[in-house]
Amino acid sequence: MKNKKIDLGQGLDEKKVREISKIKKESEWMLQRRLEAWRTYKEMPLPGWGVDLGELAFGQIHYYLKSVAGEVGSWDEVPGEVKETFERMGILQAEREVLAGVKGQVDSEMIYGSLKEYLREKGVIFVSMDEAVKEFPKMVKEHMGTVIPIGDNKLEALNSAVWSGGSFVYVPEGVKVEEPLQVYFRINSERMGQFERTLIVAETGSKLSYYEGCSAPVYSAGALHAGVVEVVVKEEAKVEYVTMQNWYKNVYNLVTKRAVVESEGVMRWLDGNLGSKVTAKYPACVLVGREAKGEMLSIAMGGKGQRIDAGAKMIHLAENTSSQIVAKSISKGGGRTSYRGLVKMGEKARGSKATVRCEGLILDSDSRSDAYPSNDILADEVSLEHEASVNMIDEEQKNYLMSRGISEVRAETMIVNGFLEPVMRKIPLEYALELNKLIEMEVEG
Amino acid sequence: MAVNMALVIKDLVVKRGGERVVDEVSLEVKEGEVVGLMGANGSGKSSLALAVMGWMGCEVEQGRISIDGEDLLGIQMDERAKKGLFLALQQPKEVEGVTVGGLLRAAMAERGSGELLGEIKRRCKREAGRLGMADELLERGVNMDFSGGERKLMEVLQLKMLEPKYAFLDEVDSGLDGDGLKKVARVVKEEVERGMGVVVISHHRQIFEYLEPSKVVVMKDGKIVKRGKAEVVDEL
Repeated sequence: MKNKKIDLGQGLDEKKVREISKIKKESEWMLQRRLEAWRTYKEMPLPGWGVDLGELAFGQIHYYLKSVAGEVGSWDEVPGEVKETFERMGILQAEREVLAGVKGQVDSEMIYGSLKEYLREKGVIFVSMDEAVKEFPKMVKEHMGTVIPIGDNKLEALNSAVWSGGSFVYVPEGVKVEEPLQVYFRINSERMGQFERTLIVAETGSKLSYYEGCSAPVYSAGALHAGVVEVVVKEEAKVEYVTMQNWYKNVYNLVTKRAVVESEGVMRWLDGNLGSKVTAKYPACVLVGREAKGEMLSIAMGGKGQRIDAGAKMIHLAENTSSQIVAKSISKGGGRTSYRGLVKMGEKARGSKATVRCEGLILDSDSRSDAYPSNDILADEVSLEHEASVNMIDEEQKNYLMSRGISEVRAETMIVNGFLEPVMRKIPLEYALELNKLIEMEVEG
Repeated sequence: MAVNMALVIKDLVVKRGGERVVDEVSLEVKEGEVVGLMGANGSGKSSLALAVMGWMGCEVEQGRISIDGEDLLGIQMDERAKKGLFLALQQPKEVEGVTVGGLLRAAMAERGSGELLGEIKRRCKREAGRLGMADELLERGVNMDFSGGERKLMEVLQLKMLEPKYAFLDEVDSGLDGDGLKKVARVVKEEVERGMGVVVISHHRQIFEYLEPSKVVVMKDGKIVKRGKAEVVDEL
């Protein structure tokens, strides 16, 4: 029965890891990989990130839950309720107008997928990771775990053991995908654990924009999202990876994202974090080839009961590499945001430069914002510029706008938007508008 | 009884930081009237203007403020602005990422105007040109890295766009060169002819030569110590 719901129940053991592999009819190598990760996971301590994961009840999480029929290629076949959700997110309209391809994942499995025909003809691959393991095992074997190895951290090991869904993207040499590929992740069940696994390989001279949106409905019990994203940026390739994270405010969002960038390649992370109870996320660029570039633009908003710990890591391992981090955060209603970042210049990073700018804006005295930058410089002739600031919203600015007849709450929103504007300017318009709208809703309550 | 079409300040006492900075001041500004307000630094001129606007930190201890018969003291600053009050600040604030067009669009929307951003920007550009402001200033965050004179022009531009009934101009002439002052005076005069009543705060006589106040008052230690006509300017 294709439509049958599968729920492995709460908690995790080796039997369930095997069961997931069996449900997916995987070959032996993937099962072995999962088991190795499971053993690693059991032995590892929780990561020493800046957030307290003590309340996260791993034993109550559902590690695999297939709630909807398998992936379909036609929108008409998507079940009504799910379709409505995605339509509210504008997925269909967006697809018709601007996207090269779309995927949607609900809980553990991808439920919808499409890719424009001309891209398929050029050899672009955009499939769920489950499908990739079956259809392109050689490519998956070659790259999976090369950017983020098993046991990079405990959550990664967990993901490697129980991963389900996520996407595999391959862009052949010289192919430029001008329209973005888009993926929506939805947690639709209580106490759900979503562990998607994504791998992007951009061959020499290729180009790709990949956008992901995340959301979850209201549930009383928390959920866990522990995705792993690996990106391989070959020589002179350009990859842009955009995330709009708007999980419901009881989701633990603990994500590992990393790109390896070869000579003259460019990797750009754009990260919007609005939802979740706890987010710990530090996307990284490992610049391994000369003149490789890494960029991170991040916007975080922490409201009541939220703890957003986000940042970036830029690892310079070759000559004349460059990186830029711009992180802006807003704290409100007792929320707490922090920037946590690392810039490392390895011994071979001569002539490299990095700039870091992180700014926090606090809207009331109950809220908090911190910056925890760290630098590790092992090379000569490198430059590192660093600016960090945390400020309370300026009451005089607010008064100034109010004196022109603008209400207090509107004035606050305008100041917040103005504060974010330098980053928003660099985000593709439709995402900037969406992000603006979400932030306005948060600020205005 | 006919409504008194005027900004009326009656026996106003204002404290800032615990100190009495405005001491039983009464002043009336009629529609289309220009009033000069002079006095040394620290005499309470700016505090009077800020308190009438409703600025943070200005505590009104006693007295009344009304425009066209409507009480202002019970309402917040943004509501006062919507009733037609405007203050051109002595030290205008910088707001990152908010252009004057965006600011005015929000201000006008709050007044129930449906004027579109594009149209506001076009009008803004025209009026800015008449004030001798570079177009580029309109694209920046309001007052961000503006010179002192440019900030004053930005205040007058907003006044022109918002068409208040009553306004305070707090040392709008400082930082402006002769040409800039002439342009500001021309715009203010247009507004006065439209019917705006205005209190012009300044140390310099030149702006009063252009704007020809019908009365001039002088403040000292929070009190009005002298009332007269234009000749008061010459006496100081």
